[in-house]
Amino acid sequence: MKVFFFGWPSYYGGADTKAVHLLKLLSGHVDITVIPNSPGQLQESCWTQRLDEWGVNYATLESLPDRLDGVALAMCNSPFLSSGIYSTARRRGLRIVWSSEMMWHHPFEVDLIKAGAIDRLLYVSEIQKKALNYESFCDVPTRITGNFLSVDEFPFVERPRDLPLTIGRLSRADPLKYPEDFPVFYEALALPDVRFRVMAWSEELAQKYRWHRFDHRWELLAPEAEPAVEFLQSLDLFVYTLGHRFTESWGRSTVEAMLTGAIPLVPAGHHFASLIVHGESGYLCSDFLEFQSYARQLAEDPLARQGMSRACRRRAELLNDPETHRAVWLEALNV
Amino acid sequence: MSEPSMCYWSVADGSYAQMMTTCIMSARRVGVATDFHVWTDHSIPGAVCHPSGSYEHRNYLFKFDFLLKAAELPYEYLVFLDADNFFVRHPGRLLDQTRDAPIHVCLESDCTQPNNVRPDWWGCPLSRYVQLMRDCGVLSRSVFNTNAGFWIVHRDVARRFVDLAMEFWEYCNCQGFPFTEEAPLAYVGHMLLGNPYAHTLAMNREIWASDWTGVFADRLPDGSSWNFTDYMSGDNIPVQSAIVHCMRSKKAMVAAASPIRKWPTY
Repeated sequence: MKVFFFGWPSYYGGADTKAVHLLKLLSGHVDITVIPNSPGQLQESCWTQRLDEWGVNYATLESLPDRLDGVALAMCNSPFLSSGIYSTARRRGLRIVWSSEMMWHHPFEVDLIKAGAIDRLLYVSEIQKKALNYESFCDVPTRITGNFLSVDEFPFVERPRDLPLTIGRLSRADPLKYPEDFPVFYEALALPDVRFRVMAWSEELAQKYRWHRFDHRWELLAPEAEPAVEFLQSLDLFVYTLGHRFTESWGRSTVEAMLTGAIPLVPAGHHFASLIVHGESGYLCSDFLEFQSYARQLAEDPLARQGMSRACRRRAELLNDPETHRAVWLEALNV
Repeated sequence: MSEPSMCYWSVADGSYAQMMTTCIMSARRVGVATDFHVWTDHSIPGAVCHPSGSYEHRNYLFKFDFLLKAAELPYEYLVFLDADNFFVRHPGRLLDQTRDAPIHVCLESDCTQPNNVRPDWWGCPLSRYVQLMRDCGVLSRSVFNTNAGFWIVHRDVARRFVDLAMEFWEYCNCQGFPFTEEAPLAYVGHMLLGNPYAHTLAMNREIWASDWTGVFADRLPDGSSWNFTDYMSGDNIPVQSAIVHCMRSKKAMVAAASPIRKWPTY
């Protein structure tokens, strides 16, 4: 099987991060060529070195033979649709597999699907399937492929028992992802001597919360100010409240956090119940008072906290069995 | 860190301007020196008056429009008071009410309680009201109503406050519930307070309470303790708030604006 992946890996943003792990997962099992939107990305040695390690090819579409055989896979790559890249790929013989990754349709997505431009559609979760509901307007075959994380990329770190808690979050700097009351919610948990760490912060977020006086407890880091893994390893609790108009289609950063040993406290709903066993590997909270109660229990019982931290790692490892994920992907890409 | 600045503000035309006069006099009498800004068609002693012009009174949604005007004033926090509020003692450090949230809205009755005896709020069945709040993103187990006679907003959140309020109001209106300003105010409270349970009347009864049952009907509050009756459950809790929303004492508030009127002693 030949897969032409349209996009480029990155450590920022769910879909591009997903690409890193997916390429690693499938390398050696299928022939992969990564085709970036911008030729300049082929000069990013940090990524080309990794692709070389995995035996993954990379090239511009123009540099490839006129006639291609295989599958074109694009994940959350809007220009793939809007700039007509899909059309070129199709004309050159590729079957098109598209994964939105979002809870909404990208520009042109619906029209192109209706026009027969896409051969297979991928969902990441049931909740995303419910939102996008391709079946309601087309008969293009769909698959749920989920999300794979290479567990080696997020080593577990035992948290010290004798230090004050650090709570925080990592997500794309999208104001929609942050609840209206974000900083006051964290502070209202009223944990003793707590520190707050947030990555990736932006000017837009600073503007949204300009009413708040962020004091010495807060550390607001720019995107990629630290490697994601080091940032997550610095957190005891991953408290991930979300904006009221935002639904998390999967929850990649939550599982990354769990792999490092950070305990997730997340709102009920979304896809989180599939990721977290409530009370064993984190908490699904339906109310502020639940967030507060669980956070305080964890703050007051370092031994229990360490136990749950290890359980988070085990749970996240279970969710990321490479054989299982590879089989799902190979079937999905067999168009 | 320096103390944030604040002012009281209101919108008071017609006879409400006289009530506002009494409100400010009561505040000055107990030692409140904070500025009052009032959008009005009268001259109100003790207030910085701004012309209200003509505005739509329906559903009291004008409060949100005037909030945006108030947010242009040089104060960090804007404390809204209905004209029929009466100070019986100095409220102390009022901004502590915010508990570091950008707003304070006094959340009154838990509309999810099975022991509620009143079935609706502003004609909306309680279960429907709760669902409307859920539809618009309220996650807390309890869903409260509020009385809109007193609330605090940080000026930097005023625009967002109004946008959220009107989004909720529009949604409810489309569902057949053209609420007054109170339901959207309660909604914004749930969205911006962080811990809504810290902003309930029960937790803040020493500052402000609304005498909707008319404990002080037709007279001015005298500073004594009184029973607040929960609007939904009918339960009573004792209150002795520094500011009384004496909404059943409007005639007394108007009359007290006259300089020869005798005021209660306390």
